[in-house]
Amino acid sequence: MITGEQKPLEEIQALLGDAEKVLVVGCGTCVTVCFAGGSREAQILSASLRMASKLNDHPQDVTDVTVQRQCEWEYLDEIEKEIAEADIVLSLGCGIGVQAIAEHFPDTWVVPGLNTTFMGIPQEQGVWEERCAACGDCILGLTGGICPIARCSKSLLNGPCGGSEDGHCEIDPEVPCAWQLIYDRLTSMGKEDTLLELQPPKNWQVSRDGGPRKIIREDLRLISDEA
Amino acid sequence: MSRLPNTQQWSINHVNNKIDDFQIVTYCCTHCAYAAADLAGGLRMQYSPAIKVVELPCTGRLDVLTVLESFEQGADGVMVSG
Repeated sequence: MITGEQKPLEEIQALLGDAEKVLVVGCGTCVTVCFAGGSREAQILSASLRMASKLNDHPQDVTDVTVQRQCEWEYLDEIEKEIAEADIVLSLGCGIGVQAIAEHFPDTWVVPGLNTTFMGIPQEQGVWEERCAACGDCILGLTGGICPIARCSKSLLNGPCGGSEDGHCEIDPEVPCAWQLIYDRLTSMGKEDTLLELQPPKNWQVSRDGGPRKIIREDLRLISDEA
Repeated sequence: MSRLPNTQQWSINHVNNKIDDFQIVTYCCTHCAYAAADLAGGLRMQYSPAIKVVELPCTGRLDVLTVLESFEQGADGVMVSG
């Protein structure tokens, strides 16, 4: 899932400025399950903003609405009326949700209420860890299902480096060394020989190094370029 | 909250002296605090009318949204008793 963290209230207030009518838009998918921007968080933030603005002697009309997914036009169509009535929209979606609202409603000023953080996993209740860096060229088949791109601090392809100590990374003794995890897993499965094969430089063009990415599936498109 | 007096001023006497100025909502668990409040009533014990008791089946039912709504509706303080 995509994880995010809510921005501090002071920062959100600064983003909203003196707007009279504020619409807080929650998202019912990734940021709901990481307790950052779902319906509940949207309601709590709205109440907090209403009270904070009252205390600042500039009461704002703050309402909230939550859509199933901010990153799909169909769901955004459902809140067209609410968006039109607002002076400013505070999106509690990830960065994709904020941009989708801005793109779908060109006359609307939209600001983010979250810092989108990473793609990860809820390790335990209240703890999320990064697992995927969307590098565009998955090598999990070589590393026993443990990603060295997302989980090694240096994104090494042939690790571990000299900073690995007692199974932990030199950046923080709390952070496990991804290559130690890979070695342990491959050993436990009798596949440690895989590590003898040196990995050539990775194709980073399919990652962010190649600029903004796009996927086109002609088999799924309603109108093909070739038609 | 600017409507709340500072800690030094916040005393039972202060509440008693300005009963009309304050509204304290207290959410009580029906199994303990609410029963205690009931007993206090039966014993004719006095407490400030500023305190408004709301009975809950369990204080685990209390949600942060309920507390926020109490403040938004004008409560000066919220007490959770359970």
